[in-house]
Amino acid sequence: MSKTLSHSRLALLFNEKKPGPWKRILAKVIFFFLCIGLWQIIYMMKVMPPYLLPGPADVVAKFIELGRSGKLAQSIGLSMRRMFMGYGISVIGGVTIGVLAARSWIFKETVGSLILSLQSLPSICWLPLALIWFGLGEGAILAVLILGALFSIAVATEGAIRNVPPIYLKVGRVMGAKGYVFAKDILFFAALPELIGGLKLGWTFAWRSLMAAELIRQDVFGVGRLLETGRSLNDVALMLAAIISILAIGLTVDTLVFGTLEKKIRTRYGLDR
Amino acid sequence: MKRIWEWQLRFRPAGQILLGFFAIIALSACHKEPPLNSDGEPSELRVGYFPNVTHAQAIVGVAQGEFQKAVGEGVRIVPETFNAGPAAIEALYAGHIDIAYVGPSPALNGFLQSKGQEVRVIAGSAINGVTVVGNRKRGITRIAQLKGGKIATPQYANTQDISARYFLGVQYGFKLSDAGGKTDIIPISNPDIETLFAKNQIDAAWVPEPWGTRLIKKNLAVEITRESELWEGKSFAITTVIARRDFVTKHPELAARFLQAHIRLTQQLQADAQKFAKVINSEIKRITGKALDDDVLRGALKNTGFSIDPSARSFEQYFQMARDVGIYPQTEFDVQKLLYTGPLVAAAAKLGFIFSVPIIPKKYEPLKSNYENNNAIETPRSAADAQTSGTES
Repeated sequence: MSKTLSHSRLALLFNEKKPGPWKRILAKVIFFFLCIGLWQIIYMMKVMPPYLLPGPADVVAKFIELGRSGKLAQSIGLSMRRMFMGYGISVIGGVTIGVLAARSWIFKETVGSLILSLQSLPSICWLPLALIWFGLGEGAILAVLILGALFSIAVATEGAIRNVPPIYLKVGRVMGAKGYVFAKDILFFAALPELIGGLKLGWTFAWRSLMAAELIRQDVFGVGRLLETGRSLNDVALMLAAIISILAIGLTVDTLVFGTLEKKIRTRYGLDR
Repeated sequence: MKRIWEWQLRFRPAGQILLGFFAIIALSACHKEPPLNSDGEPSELRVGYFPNVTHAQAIVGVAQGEFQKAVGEGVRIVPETFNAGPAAIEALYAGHIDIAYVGPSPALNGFLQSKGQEVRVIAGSAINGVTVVGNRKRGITRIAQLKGGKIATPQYANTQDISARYFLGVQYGFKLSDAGGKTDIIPISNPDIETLFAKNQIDAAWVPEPWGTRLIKKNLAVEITRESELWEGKSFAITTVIARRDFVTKHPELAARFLQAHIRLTQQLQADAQKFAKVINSEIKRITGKALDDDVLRGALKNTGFSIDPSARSFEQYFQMARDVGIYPQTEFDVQKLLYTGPLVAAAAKLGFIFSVPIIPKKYEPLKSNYENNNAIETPRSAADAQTSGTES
């Protein structure tokens, strides 16, 4: 009895027929409205005084205030600039290291093993040292961001290349692909689906490292700093507004950029329909 | 029957999440208050302070058991140490501490953010003790040289940060980087300030003791000015004693007994602060794991004054300063609501003396301000007035 029950339960949860895109969007919208409604109810129940748990309206008002003063746009702009610079460097460096580690055993045994061990260190641990070495300004923060993303991209790239089915490489060789052409037309495209996954992971790591660094370092502006400012002023509405901003940026990049890219590639490769 | 099952199964996870969410809210919402003892007073009095020279009364009072003696056997003193004002205010909001030694800026902030619901200032503690120091390597010795420079403060919107922004940005009229100017106020922790001086990356710092003395003794910086020189009357509050409103309005006698110890300690520190150097340093070592150099501590104690005056004037001026530099959006603030001096007056009377410093100065002159509606409070108050207004209306 219990076995059949758990089966039907699983079936209900996971084996549903896939609904259309509009239905899915509608479900999401309704769910988020319900969440906000729940928040409003808890707020109105006064389980906490409003300066400890502000209502949705207070946070919206805070967003308007931040938007008007230009602080929100400034903070997001600065954080995104750091992301583009730091992540860009990480992608170039990480992919290069990953390819080298996958194709050269001596590189893998030396630099590769070092990277593998460094990857297990949360990059925010570098911040105190980065401040001493790089001092004020962007240097230290960029260093933490790059250290957060670079190694994970390198490791993922190496994995992606190693996981390319050998038959593709053999076929490529047989058809006469060599050197640059081999790398560009065979290796790259064969590794692409997994590579994108690695780049997405790198972005997530970079974003998390940046937020942690901005939270600690008060001398630079950014979305993370906005959160810390809220804390300095005991302004919970500001803290919530900052968290929602951080969440929204992460979600937007994850779904719009990487989600779309991944889906396109998976469709193209016949992995998804 | 089957339909009901389906419905339940389908929504059970959502229900569980909802339940968990409510449980978290309910748990985090409960104020942790100690049970009452047989006298109807809380069995614990939780005192928050920092292991800093400017919190000398709290350090000595805890170490030598003065607070415990003053409050009596029924109430246990529970010390809690913090590193910065916002954390202490968070703990106070959460009902985890009853009395705290904090700077005027966190006190004011805690009061304003809670719309006057949580924080009351019950006494003054330390005054002055803030030094503006310039980078020795860059030869910075005057405030005029700070124009267009990088000036470090310990934390955004803390007491020194507001002072630096106000005095440099408003009084001296240097255009700050927030407003698109070149003069950069950089909030960064005190140990990091030392690193930046060592790396020759900043021009000056606006720091509380012992950091001012320490930077000078380490030959990294020179004194530009004491902050007190910039203030009307050459003095300002740097540490005050605050209490949770709920606690102090319910148990004013307990607060008064605590303040008796606070007053006695303040008198002793006023008479000879150096006498306490040893006990303060051993406490700093016990709490932070690292003692200060003896000469740094002695220099810091020399630069710091002690006073039980809750200094309405300092709060009025800090509010104006913070508002003028754009940290507070509020335009109105009633200092009388912030102060709760009943217990202090009662404690002083018990000790049989009258304040050597007036609770509120007779004459109040506002600082130069950008704002036109500069309503100075002109009501002079006597100790008796303070007692009546101290009882919550």
